[in-house]
Amino acid sequence: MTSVAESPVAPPRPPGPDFTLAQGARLWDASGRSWLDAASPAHFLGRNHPEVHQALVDLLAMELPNLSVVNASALGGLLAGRLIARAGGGFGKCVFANSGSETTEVALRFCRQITRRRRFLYLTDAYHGRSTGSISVCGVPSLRAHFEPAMPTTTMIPPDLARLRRELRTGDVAGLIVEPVQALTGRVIDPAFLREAENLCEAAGTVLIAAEVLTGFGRTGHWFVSDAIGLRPGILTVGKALGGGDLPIGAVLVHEAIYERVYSGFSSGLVYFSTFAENNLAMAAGLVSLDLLERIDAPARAARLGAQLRAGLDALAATHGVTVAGLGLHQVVHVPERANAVAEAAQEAGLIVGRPPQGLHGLRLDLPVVCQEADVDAALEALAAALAGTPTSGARPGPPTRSLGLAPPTPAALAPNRSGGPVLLDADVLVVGASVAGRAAAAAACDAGREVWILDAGPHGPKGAETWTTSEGLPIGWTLDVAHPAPATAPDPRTDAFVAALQAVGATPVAVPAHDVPSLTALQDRGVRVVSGVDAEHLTVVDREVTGVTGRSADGSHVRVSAGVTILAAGAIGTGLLLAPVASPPAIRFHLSATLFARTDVPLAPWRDRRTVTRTDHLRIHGATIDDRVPDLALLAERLVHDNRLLRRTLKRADCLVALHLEVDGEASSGTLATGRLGPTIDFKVADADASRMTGAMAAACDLLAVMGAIEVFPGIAGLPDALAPADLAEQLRATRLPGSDLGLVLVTPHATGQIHPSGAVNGLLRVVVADASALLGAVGPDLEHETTKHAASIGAGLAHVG
Amino acid sequence: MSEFQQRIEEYLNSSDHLSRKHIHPRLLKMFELGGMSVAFTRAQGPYLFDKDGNKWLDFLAGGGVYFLGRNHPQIHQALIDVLGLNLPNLAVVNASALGGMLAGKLLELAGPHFGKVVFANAGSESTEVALRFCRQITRRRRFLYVDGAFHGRSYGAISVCGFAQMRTNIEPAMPVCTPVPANDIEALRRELKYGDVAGFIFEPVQGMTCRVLEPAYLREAENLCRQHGTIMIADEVQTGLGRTGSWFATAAMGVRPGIMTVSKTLSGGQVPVGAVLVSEEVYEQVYSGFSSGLVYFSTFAENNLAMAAGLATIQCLEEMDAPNLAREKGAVLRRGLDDLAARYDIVDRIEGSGLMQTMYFKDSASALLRTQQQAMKAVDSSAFAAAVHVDLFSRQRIVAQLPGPGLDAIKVLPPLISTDDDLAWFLNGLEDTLVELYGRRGPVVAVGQGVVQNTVGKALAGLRAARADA
Repeated sequence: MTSVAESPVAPPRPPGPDFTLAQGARLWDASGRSWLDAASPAHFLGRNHPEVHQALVDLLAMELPNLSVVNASALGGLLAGRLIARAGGGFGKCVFANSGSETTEVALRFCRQITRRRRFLYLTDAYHGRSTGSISVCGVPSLRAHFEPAMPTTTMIPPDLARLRRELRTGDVAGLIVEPVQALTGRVIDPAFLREAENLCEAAGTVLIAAEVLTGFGRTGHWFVSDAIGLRPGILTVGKALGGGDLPIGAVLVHEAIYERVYSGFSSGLVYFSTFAENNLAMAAGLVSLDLLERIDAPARAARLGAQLRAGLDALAATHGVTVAGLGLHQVVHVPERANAVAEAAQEAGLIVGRPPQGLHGLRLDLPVVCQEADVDAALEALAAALAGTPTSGARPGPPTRSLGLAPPTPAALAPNRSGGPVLLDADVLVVGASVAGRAAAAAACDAGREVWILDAGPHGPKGAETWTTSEGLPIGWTLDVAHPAPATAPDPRTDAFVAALQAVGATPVAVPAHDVPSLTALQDRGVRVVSGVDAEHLTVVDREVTGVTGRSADGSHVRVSAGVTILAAGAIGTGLLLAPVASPPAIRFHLSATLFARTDVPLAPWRDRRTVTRTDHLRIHGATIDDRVPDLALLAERLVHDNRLLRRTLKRADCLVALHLEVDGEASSGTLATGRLGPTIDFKVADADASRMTGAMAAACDLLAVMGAIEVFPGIAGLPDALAPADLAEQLRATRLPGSDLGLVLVTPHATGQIHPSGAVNGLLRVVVADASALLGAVGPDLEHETTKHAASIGAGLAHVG
Repeated sequence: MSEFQQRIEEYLNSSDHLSRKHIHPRLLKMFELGGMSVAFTRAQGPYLFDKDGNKWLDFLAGGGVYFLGRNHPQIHQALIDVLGLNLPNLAVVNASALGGMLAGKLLELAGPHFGKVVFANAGSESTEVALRFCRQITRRRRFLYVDGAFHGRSYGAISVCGFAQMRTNIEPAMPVCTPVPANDIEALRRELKYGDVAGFIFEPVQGMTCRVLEPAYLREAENLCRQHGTIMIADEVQTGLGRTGSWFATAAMGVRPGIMTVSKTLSGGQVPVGAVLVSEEVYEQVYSGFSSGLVYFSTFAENNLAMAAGLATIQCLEEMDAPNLAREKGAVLRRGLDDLAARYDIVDRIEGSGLMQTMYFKDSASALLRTQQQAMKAVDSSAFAAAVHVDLFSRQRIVAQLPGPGLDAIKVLPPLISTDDDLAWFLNGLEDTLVELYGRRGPVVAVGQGVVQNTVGKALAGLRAARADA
């Protein structure tokens, strides 16, 4: 018998006895000692079942066609019919696969195919397999350690209806996948949650997938949990027990309507195809397993044995301070901090249990349905001995098992890339920052024939935002990628109203030319490589030459980029922070900006139509501008609204919403950047004069909003520097003619310009150039963004001549 | 006859009705429209039989799994023997005896460069394991794959497949997989230079296109991968175990990948299986300091039946000296195909190696035929090949393969046990089909007249009907 140490097979399995014989619920070694096996759910019918074996031998003797590709499989048809009849729930078609993981893959594929959507929802602690797709819907972060980025756009949720509603509302969810009873935790998901989830999914056009790979075929006391609780999932996945313990197999049951939608096109004849799926041996094993399970009435037997087991486990739980979850013959004993020790002790005592993956602590007991009452007692006895003989804490050296606790940490937090080497990138021209300036510089450098990379921190966005990865493999938190095409010539009711209001108050609208900065996607199409989700932390400087940057990605990986030329376009603050440690800290000026929302009683137009920034006319008063350029409402809402109920309610009537954007030249507000022992700091002061200009601008804007037909304005003060005296400002705004709600609703983003030479050159450093507003001190015209864009483009174009 | 056998036997002759109801009626409809609706009831060696005893030559061989032919007695006997032993199986603790034996055998054939084997349930799963290991070791994210590649249909595997059609409606695929053109070392160098590539996956002879990657290209690729810390993955799912004239095609090319995947033939056509061979270096890096030992784990992998099928298969292959036999038979096949290519101007070229060969079609110089070919291509770029395929099946009783989306080609994977007569059956049948297509009627005449008279016409009608459906 090959021992673990000698076996050329990976992964190395935990050491154990040298088993030589197996039958039913037990394994024997050469000395005749036996173990109860509760860790092999595929052997639900016990090991080496003579009737399963006989059916396989009979089948081989028939010399049947098999895997003929060009035609129907006789046995596949037989088994599919049996499964569909057994599963209840109105399924019409069956697709076979070779394992549980593959069934998850098929289910996910079908959901995307028919919904044309991308996102999947899965539950905390879920287990759905180990292939790339299936691991992306596993709710145990340790299972995908070092395998990010797997499939993008999957979101983990707790089994909570409010959360599910919120996620489904976005209308981008292809499927929700749930195990009615979870494999790894034994958690029985509340049937009421599942039934309502079915309704919500139906309403949202999302496919509900019930994963019963482990729980199917009677283990829980029901043939299928989903059917027993009256659930009608669109897709059901099964496996494990179906192979009779001898053959790899999986099956995906789908409703007729889903099949029709998946295969409605000729070209999708092969949406899923597998060389080995529907092979004769697996089909035969499935047929005979179903025969046997029906003959012994597996659900009833599992319910009876399961009740006996659970009663014993509950008694153990009371004595040993552990908890138990599960249904029927699938029971999980949660043993925080000593799961592996207890598993080893149980093995010593003659019981093999399933061990938890890192991050969980449930020992899984999946006894075969063919076991006897005496076997259940023996299992309980062994477990009792193991629990009693294993100290509760502190006895075992080594790191404590991480508990998921109340707030599950993000995958990134659980699996930082501490031990791994840095991600290395090699760029010709590196642009730090993907805002307008960065994109303009990158486009110009690209046109100048350079190979360009863009590195951007990417706003990490609201909770639940999709996690994306760039084509270059680094995670994007949430990147604003708004194209800025020329203003539409088509009339826009909001702009019209704004222009009319300007004229009504005797102001002259000033048309500002639109800039034309390509979106990140457009840049990628032109060959620019975009790496997002990376915070640039330090410039690498060798002998006064900047050779690139180092940074950190969202998952904690170190990133090192070497570059021929580095263009800084991270904004005055970001750029300043990068420069502070290596050049004299630049001074910064702050320019306040804000967005005011108001509600009208007459619908103006749907926001949906305003996908891009409209940049048309503005009023300039005393160093402040008021204009109606507001980006896509969805973007604003993401940034502003996710925890504000009032505005969220208002957004439901978004067609009645108007917004104005305010900017104030920070003539007297300045600040400095410095690096101290605790990292970079910003020291700044908003001058009273600037603050009062903003206050005045807000009042003027409120007047304009009133003229535009607003009945309510939402001035908000949160986030303003102290100098703006929030309380005073609120008073002043209330004094306007509009009723207001002084809630935290105003967006305030300080822009800044810094003391950089207008050419972008940084005093004392080579191979680096600044392309953002940092280099525009004192040059703020009527349109900072426009100036910045022009400047950045000229910097990028200048690289045509730089070696 | 046992009750179980009886139940199946009774059903065999109407074998498609439950499939039609419960599995994939649309696919079956396609076969029917194409004149390919035959219920096979027996299989032996390279042949499939219907209930009347009509014999088909199966050069598709279950997609290559029947390299030893169907229902091979030695493989059957091995499975029956193992079932009789009542062995432990899929135990979560301790090593599997049969798994160790098969791993040892695979490593012996693959050479000392490899040190460990991880088992899986299919070729796709093998690809998944390989990708996973690359990221685990390098802590990098990106993968490179070759245009025209096929590595499986699970999500990770399909993300490194070089056919855009396969990814319809599954986007976004696994982030950061970049295609590179075959045999273009500069393109590969450029991508590897970024230093962010975890793995470069390739098939030495591509399963779908049958394109043979140049040994010099792969050898230089190996150097570059080593230089840039990228793991090289050889996908020998289809080529492995002798098919191209050597136990493993990469070894014959003098290439030493860090990871190699094997499947298909290894199953004996009976039990789903996949195997991932890794060098000691790769193994050490994946599992060094690894706490849970479960970077990859599968319920069914390393099951006794799969391992037994693998052991029996390798024993048979060794007894037959599979690589040399495949090289000899492959040479006969290739000579025959090259000869057809020289004599028929619709043949563009032959690609492949050993017992995997593909005939590519091009427009004929004959104006009538060319017009018809172009009309068909307007419907589907591989429609002409589909016509050949259908004629081969229905008139010549030869099962061949349409290799991949958009490829106007016919591919064959003749079993190793094919006789010279079988090869002649195929070559003569193929020539007869080509003659028919050159003939007066041509592939689409019947359709043009609105009278569906020949099977080729039926195929095209089916194609159009299905299109109209969609």
